[in-house]
Amino acid sequence: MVFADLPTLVDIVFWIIALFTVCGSVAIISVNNVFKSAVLLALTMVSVAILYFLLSADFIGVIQILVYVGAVSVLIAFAVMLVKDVPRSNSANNLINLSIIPSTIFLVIIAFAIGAENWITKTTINYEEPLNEIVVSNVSWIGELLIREYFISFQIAGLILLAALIGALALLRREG
Amino acid sequence: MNLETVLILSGIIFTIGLYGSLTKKNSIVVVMCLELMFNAVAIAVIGFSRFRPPQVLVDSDVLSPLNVLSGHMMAVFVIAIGAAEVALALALIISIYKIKGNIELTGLNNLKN
Amino acid sequence: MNTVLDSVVFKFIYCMLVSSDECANSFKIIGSGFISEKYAIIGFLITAFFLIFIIVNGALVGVLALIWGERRLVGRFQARLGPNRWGPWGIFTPVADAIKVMFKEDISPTLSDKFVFILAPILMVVPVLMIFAVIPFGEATFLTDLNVGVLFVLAITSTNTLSVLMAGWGSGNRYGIIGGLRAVAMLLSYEIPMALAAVGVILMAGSLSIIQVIESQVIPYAIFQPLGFLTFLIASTAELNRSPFDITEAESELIAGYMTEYSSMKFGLFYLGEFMATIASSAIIVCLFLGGWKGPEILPSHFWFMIKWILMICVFIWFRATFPRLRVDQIMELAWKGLFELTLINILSIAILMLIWPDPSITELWIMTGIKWIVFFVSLWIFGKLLGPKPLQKNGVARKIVLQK
Repeated sequence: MVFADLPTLVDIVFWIIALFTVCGSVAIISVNNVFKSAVLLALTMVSVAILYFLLSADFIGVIQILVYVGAVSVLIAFAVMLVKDVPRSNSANNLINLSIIPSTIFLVIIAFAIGAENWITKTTINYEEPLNEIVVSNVSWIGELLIREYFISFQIAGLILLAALIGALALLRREG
Repeated sequence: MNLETVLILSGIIFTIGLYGSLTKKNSIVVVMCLELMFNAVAIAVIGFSRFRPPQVLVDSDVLSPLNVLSGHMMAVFVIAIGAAEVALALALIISIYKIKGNIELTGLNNLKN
Repeated sequence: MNTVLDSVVFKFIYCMLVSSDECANSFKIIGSGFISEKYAIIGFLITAFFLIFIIVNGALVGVLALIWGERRLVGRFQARLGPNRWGPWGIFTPVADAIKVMFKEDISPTLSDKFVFILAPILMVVPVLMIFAVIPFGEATFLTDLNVGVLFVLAITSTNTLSVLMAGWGSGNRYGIIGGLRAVAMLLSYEIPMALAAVGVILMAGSLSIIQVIESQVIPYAIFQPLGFLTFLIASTAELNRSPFDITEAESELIAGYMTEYSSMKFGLFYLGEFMATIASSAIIVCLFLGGWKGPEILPSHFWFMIKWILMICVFIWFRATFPRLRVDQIMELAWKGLFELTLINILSIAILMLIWPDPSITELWIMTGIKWIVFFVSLWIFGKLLGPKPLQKNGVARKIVLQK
């Protein structure tokens, strides 16, 4: 039972999800209610997680949902609720027209950089088949890499998280 | 779905995040835009990892997990640092709110004179 | 790793639709279907649709059964009869309930934020339905076998925090916001012991796939690591917002918290999501800790799974009927001072035991179990001393109760 047509299905899902992600991120900066943007951030993050699933990065996709939807969006929504009157003000500063120029320049540069490189012919070997085998069962490999090759970065990431925890507590500690 | 489309998508999301973080007054929205930019980068590295293993691989023909999963590792660290950054940024925002009574970035000009 | 095509149910429906050699080989009697292999994708999609249809409707029927069973059982616990008017043994009571909920007036308050208000109940139900996708209901009867199954379940259950917060904020009601804030504090705290208790299972199984976790259970992990089982059970009760951890809705204090402003089918969706979550997480506990479909071979595997599943749901109902509701500070104290450390002790002891016996035989497994039980009792005793109620009498003299200002 080999599905020759499955790539087409993946393509369709990819385009739908890509559209959803872009619309979601545009909506985050355009709705005028900050709580709504926090909710939209969560929905956008779910669609990014689905993108990861499509790119056969299951572990990263699940971690994305766990961290961004389960924790980060909730924290942001929580912070919005703690701040008075701000939920209804999502106004822009006086750079709103000027900022279009650097953003457009950035996008054009990226587009040219991507277009200039011929990505397909650079790789000479057929990597599709064996790549899938490694990447699909990647959880244990990720674990191995984290405690072998990337051990120091792993420890530093842990330290940064600890520092962030202590820093957040120290900032919000009640005086006296 | 190929590498170009993934990279272009990542570029578009990054640009939206950049534009938002340049133009928004509300600091919580700026934090959200930073998260969007983090995610754009993570999408790009996962795309590279899926479609085009590093150059080492082409030369040596060895398909080790170190080569294939390096993008995944980068994404793991991006997510971890993103979470830490949000926690700190929100703590800062709340303490600024306690002092100044609002969180608009245009109001933070105490050092101007 | 298992793919979706290893699932017997999937293969059965698929082979009735699509004609291929593999189908003809594996189902000699039925043979193969009418769609040519060129358009196999259509057969795949139709099969997937059928399975999703079965799962969703099965979950709905399960919720009806659970509502009836819970009411009857709680009635018995409280020495009364429970609902018995509609149908034999009151079996149609939930149906009458559902009809009543559907025909009520749908009110949305003026102060509410319509987008958030409507989205919240939907986001409550959808993730719970997604959990059913990774549950194996019996040997080779599953929808998918994700290689990150356990993590997927934890991630999906963590999303209901956001929908509770949305419901609380979106309804523009003070009680709703208080309920939402309480919910976020509680749900975020109990996610940590839940995930850490699952780490013990993952360490032993050496895989995140739920099917491989089940297959690795020579001794069910509930017996093998009682500490992990207990913490997971308590944490998942809290994640489900069920009594004794139902401070988020707390009818008597908060008039149902974040659900205050919801009426009609929106309220119905919350209700549905809650009961479905109970069913789903009982299934997850059965898979992770009670050996899933495993059991003596005299009966089919699906039967064993059902038995354990119903037993687990009854345990949740039993909790509800027995324990009084905890205070907010007690709940947070239990999560951070009790369960968190207990799960760390659990992980540490398993890691040490696995270092001593990397590849345990059955005798060594039982020795490990004995050590785990000793660790269980000792740590529970210590934490009971530290966190439990202080003795009212000391040296024969009643302790003075000092009121704080």
